Amino acid sequence: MDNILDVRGLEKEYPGFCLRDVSFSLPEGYIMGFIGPNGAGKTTTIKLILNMIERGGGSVKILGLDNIEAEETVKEQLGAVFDTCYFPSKWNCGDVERAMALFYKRWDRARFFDYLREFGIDRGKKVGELSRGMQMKLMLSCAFSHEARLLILDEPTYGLDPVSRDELLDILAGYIENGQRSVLFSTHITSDLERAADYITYIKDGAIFYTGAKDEFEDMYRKVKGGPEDLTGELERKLLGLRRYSNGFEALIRTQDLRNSRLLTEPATIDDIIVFTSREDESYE
Amino acid sequence: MSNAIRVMRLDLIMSKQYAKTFLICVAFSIVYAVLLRVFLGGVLFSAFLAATASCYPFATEETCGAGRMYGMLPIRRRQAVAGRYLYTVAVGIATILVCVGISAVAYLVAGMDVDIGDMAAGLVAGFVMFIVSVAFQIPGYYKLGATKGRVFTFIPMALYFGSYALIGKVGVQRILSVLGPFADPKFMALGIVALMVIMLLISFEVSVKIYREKGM
Repeated sequence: MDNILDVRGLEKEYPGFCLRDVSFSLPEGYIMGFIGPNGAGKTTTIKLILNMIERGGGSVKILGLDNIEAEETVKEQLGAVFDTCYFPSKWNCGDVERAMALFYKRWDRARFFDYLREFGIDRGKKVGELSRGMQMKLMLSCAFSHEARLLILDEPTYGLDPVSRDELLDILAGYIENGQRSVLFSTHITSDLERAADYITYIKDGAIFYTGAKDEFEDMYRKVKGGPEDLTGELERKLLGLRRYSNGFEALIRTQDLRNSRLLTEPATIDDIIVFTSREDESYE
Repeated sequence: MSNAIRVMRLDLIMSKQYAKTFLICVAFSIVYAVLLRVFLGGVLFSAFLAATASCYPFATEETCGAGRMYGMLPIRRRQAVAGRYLYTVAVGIATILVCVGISAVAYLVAGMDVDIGDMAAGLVAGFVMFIVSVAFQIPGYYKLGATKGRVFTFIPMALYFGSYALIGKVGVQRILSVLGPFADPKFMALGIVALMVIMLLISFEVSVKIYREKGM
């Protein structure tokens, strides 16, 4: 299985924030969810992949090519969708087409207008008059019209209603269908990932906490609940993000630490894992 | 087509929304030159307007986050900056030429005196003013954005007023005598061209450095 994206030891330093040794790979034909709390380094990583900011160290390879040395070739293969539309609000779809056609060798004008029709985007409207969902679809139409093989989405579902989010997930599923394209999908709405993602990369405080298959990620942890008498010192050392209540506690625990335990457990969602691993022990007495 | 030229064309599309206002202002500078019979003044006015046009792509970028669009396009940062300079110089040349041409025709139609010397002086003065302005403005826009970067517009203006005050106080003859052999017209013309090119090159390299450090 070939990797479409290979990130190795990526580093970037800002005052008060540091991205350290970020490494992960995305194979061809899959969707990877890129998750983490606000300020964890998701957007910085995406900007480094797109070479929009200068990296401090490490390497990014897209289709086997370095993203800086072969920037033009690499970006021909890339499509990007951000939380807000990057086209000027006074442009219409014709302006968008004219602008994009200048830069992409494999730009297909007819395909672009076909996508606009398919997505129900009114060609006569200005970008600023389109809804958030339509703006997101306009950015996707551009990415699809130059045959991008790697689609990078930074919080694309931010501010979208559930119907538009559902449509996006269907579009992404269709996009990777031929097995040669991949999607890196940064989001806060982890329910989207439960449905669409094959892989998860979880970044926390500028470092990778987990990267791998989504199912393994979910299986790695369990949510555990118990009364005050169940919370022994030995157990406490194994718990992550312990929340104490007057009548007991709840926390996250690694599945491997649960052997022979009679505690009440339930499957942990991706949200649970992010929340419990991001917060210190808390009391709600 | 090189990527810098592609970016220049993209910048023209980015500036489309300002085209009407810009053309009205240029027309006003021509009317000003004809009605007040100040050929050079009208050309300098148009050069100033052309320099303000360098702000348009930055302003569009700032208002709608279009900087990220440049970041995802298959171009290098240096090419993006080169395209922005090409756009600026192209708009400047076109504006000054149009202003000089139309003003000259209007002068002739109105039966007023205008000769090749006036036109050449207008072109040279216009281009010098334009190049000096944009050489300061563009790095300022890259550093601070279209709104805050406007402060850099005042640096060339301060230079003009400073030079004007110096000439008034010291006198042209004394300045020419200080310049000595460099006061030769051919030498001065070459010197001005070289100075403009050097200013633009330094400005370009500074902009590339700012753009690299700042990111998209």
